[in-house]
Amino acid sequence: MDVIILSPLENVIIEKLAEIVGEQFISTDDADLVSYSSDFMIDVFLKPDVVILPENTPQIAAIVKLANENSIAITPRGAGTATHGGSIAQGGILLDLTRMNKIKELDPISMIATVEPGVVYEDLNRITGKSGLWFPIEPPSGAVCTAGGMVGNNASGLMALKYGTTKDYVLALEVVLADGSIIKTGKSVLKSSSGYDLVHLFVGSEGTLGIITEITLRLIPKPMHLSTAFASFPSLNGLNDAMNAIYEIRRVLTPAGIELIDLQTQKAINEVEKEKLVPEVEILVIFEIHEFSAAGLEDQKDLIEGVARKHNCNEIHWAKDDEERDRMWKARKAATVVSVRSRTSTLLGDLIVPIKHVPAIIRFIQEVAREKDLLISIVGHAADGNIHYLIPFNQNESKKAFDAGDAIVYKTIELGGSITAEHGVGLEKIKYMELEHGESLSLMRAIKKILDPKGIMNPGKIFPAEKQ
Amino acid sequence: MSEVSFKNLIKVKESLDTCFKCSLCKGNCPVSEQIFWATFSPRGKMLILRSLLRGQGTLTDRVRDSLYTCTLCGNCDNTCIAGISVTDVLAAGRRDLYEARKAPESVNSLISTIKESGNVFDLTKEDMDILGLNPRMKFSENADLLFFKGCYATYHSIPNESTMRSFNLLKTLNVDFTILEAEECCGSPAYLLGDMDTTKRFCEYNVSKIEETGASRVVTACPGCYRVLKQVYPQLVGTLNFEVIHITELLAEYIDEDRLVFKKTGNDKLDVLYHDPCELGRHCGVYDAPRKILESIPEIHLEEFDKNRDEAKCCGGGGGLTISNPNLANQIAQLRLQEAEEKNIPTVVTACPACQLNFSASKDKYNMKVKILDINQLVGSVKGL
Repeated sequence: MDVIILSPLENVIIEKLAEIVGEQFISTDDADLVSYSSDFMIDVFLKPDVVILPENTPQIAAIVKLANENSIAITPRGAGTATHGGSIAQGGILLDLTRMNKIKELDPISMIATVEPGVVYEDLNRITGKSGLWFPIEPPSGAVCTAGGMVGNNASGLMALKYGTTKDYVLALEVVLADGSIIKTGKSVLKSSSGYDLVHLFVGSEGTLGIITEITLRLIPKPMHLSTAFASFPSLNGLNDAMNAIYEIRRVLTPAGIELIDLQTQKAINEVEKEKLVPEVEILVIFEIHEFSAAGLEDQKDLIEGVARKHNCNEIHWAKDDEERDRMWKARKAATVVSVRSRTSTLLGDLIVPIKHVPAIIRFIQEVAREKDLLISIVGHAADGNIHYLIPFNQNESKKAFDAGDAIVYKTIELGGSITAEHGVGLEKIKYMELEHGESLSLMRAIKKILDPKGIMNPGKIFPAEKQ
Repeated sequence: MSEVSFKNLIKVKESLDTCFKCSLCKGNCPVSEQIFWATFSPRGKMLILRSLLRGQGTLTDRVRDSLYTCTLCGNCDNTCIAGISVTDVLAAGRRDLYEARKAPESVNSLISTIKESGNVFDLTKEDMDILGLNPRMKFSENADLLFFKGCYATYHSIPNESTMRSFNLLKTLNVDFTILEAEECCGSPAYLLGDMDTTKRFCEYNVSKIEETGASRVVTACPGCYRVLKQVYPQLVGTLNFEVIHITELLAEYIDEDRLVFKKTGNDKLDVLYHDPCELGRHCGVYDAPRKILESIPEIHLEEFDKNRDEAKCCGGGGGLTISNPNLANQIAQLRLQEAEEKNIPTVVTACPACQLNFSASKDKYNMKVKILDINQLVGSVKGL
């Protein structure tokens, strides 16, 4: 994947790019380059050579064609809320797609929406909600993250247990390929067995195979009755108690979400928020349930409460109203950052293991923390096996922090898991790709080579650097 | 880089270092709703300032535009899950730019005007006498309560006579009050735009004049004046010898004490949306008093914007945006007013002359039907009073 990055870009190229999008939507000003130099959490700051805000697919096609002819790297970007550096560009063109924010079609009969990649998740749901419909991924960054970024990353969120991940909702895509050609793949239908599934080749490809310029999404009815509970598992064996309860509950019903927060994170949330948002217990579990009838909701509550108490849950508190429910989720969403405020850098993990191994991987993380004398916070989507761990560190602790991260990833692979469940590979996880995928990584490379022979599409992401 | 000391930014370095760049602050940012460039988002601004402080960035005109294209509404602070005050960081950045003479020309020009005339509208004392006060109105000499008029409420270009309405309202309620004969700007515009020296000068002047009157309470109808008097003055000159309240808090007190009662008139109910001014609401926590007043008026049916109280969207008129980018300020106001039209609610009530001014400018510019009322204007016009 040898990429020739013209740095700085020749003025003649900049002028041609400006002709495509207009002077107002292209910049090489340092302030603009800095503004796009990083993502959420990651301690990496890299500047592109130029930032462009295209308005439509033909403009993107023209930009990509020009870039391909001149071997210039292109990195697409939505809201920049991913955590592994997938939308950071080291030189080349950074394409900010947020200007392409139109909902092109909403078909409430077929329950399908076709959108541009810059549509913000919550804006989309505000519109679909008027027809009682919902794109149910609910990423914690939903107020700002874009549909394109979600598809590029195969994002998921707090309700994946019941509703799945972004890939489960993508029916069709329009993509600008590396040579500037435009393809449409997939149809606005719920099923198709017609040939290779190219749609899902692009989902999660992090912009390395093409620029997604239009997305057709399946929508579902939004449940009318929702409830959220905090369940406290106070004993020193709280992790086993909580997971045993979760295993039993999952065999009889599928809550929308089941989240787990460790004691260290609970304390950090209460400290930062300056109010007791969460109880402080060995393990706190959040249950989120959705139903179409009030009676159904009550049945779910009874069942969950009964099972949880059987497994030594000493308190289960259901939100009294929407306001309290919002406060509960505010606490969970804050969990990602509050526990790491005391250090200058953070390593954020996104592992997933078979659900039966959740206690094993959490215990392993706790052991690593003790062994390396690190504070590692653990929050996660416990019921689907997706655990996030946060290792805050100062610069003099970076080696042991990264060693700890490596050890946790190796254990994840040993347990049959994956290095990233929903955040993507980006820059940070590249080093583990061979370990996870083995020989099939070569096939991924081959696919990349066919679609992007010059390696201009988001170079340096997903794949390890090729040996020279 | 050596041209700017960044001495104010250094004071908020911890906030810059703590920011995890999640960008959730963009979610309710009025500027980001209008401008797609990340450069103008709260995270973009934080990244720019961090890079400058670390000596890794270049101070271009775009930096200046980014910092001054902000209403300082505080929605970013309210959204931040790490508990950072983004607006404190941006204010520090503005101070460093202003002190290094790198602020936009429109900002320098306004501050010069305020310094010279003592008000934001460049009015002479004679102008002010003609525009601002009824010369026949007599004020008590030994009143315990002082009404701080404020430039916007008294002299702004919309002839709604906000200050006169406040005076008449207080007189109707038999409130014994006085004013400063030679009141100067409260300092809020200078504070928001980054000139702390001027803010302090006005602060010292107004505090000494207020203390000379012996008043123990200062009431104002302008949330900008209110915030600066209540929160900034004590930081600059220490504890004040007087309490600062907003006129809505005074009226709410009177309602609680049954000294202000609205009688039923039999008129049709008027549906209104209350817009929380950022300076009064998010920055000072006054949400209930204006609602108490509106809910006490039998002819008013109070509705809420989707985003209200601490999540209320900005009108666009704050942070000096009407000076640095008036078109953008109007566009932000238009978006807020559109919600009223979509909800088919004919009237938006606010408790801030700056909000009223910007809303009214936007309403005229975009030919909108919604009526904009100051809460004093509404209360003063209620026949049952």
